[in-house]
Amino acid sequence: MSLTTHPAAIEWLAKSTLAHQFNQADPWTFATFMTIHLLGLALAFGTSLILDLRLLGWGLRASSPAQIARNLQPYLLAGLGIALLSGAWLFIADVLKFWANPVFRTKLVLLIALSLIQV
Amino acid sequence: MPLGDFFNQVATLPISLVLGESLNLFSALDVIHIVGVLLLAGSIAVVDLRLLGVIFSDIGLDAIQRQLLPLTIAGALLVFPSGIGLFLPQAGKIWLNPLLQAKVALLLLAGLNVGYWHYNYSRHAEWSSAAALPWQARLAGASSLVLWAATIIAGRLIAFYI
Repeated sequence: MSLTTHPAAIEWLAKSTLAHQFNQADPWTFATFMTIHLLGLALAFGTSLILDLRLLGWGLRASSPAQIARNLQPYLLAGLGIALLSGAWLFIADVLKFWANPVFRTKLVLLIALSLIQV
Repeated sequence: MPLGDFFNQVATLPISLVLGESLNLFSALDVIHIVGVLLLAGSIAVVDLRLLGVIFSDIGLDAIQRQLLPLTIAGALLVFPSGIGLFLPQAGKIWLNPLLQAKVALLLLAGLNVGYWHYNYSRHAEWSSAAALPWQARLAGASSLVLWAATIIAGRLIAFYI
């Protein structure tokens, strides 16, 4: 019988003291991070959607795309930063559970792509 | 009829049973609910920030409100039916969850805030194009941001209260 193997970095992260500490956290700490994750997501998604729709010619037509980008960029980046940091905490707290999930890996690829687009 | 009996009956409605027994349907409602929250809360937050005078001060409030309303409505059409769908199969137990009760109360307050703001706004035509808005508008924006954020927080925490 063969055991599932993971990349060395994932193995190392899963066995690190940090991952152990996060994993042993109080359930309400998990709840807090999930809540922060959702709030960051709402802020990043809502603001980027308004810009994306404007680029398509919909929504906030009273303003130009450049103006919308200038106004909303700080909130978009703040939301994305909050979502990424809280998401990293949640991932480190349960590395192997998430890594084993194919949907999570799809999410990771999409997330890296969209974060690079924002830069 | 006591409230508990009422919610027990709600949980045994045919639609509640269908939703409760279907794994995929319930998960789908979960995803629809979150996407709806992102649309609803995100578009409302932009209007709130305009009320506070933080962004888009060069664009009239009337244009911002009119052009973002379709997004808010789309979010509401996703979030409310899916939320009711998630509630139905669990109605018998979940109505006792203090975080669900807090969420319902916060939703009512957020709704009252929207109603009170539009009543106020309708009586002040000069606000629709003003760059800096009076304290009533800034208070409406700030309380809306706080109430919707608190609604999301309470909603997310429902699952952690066992």
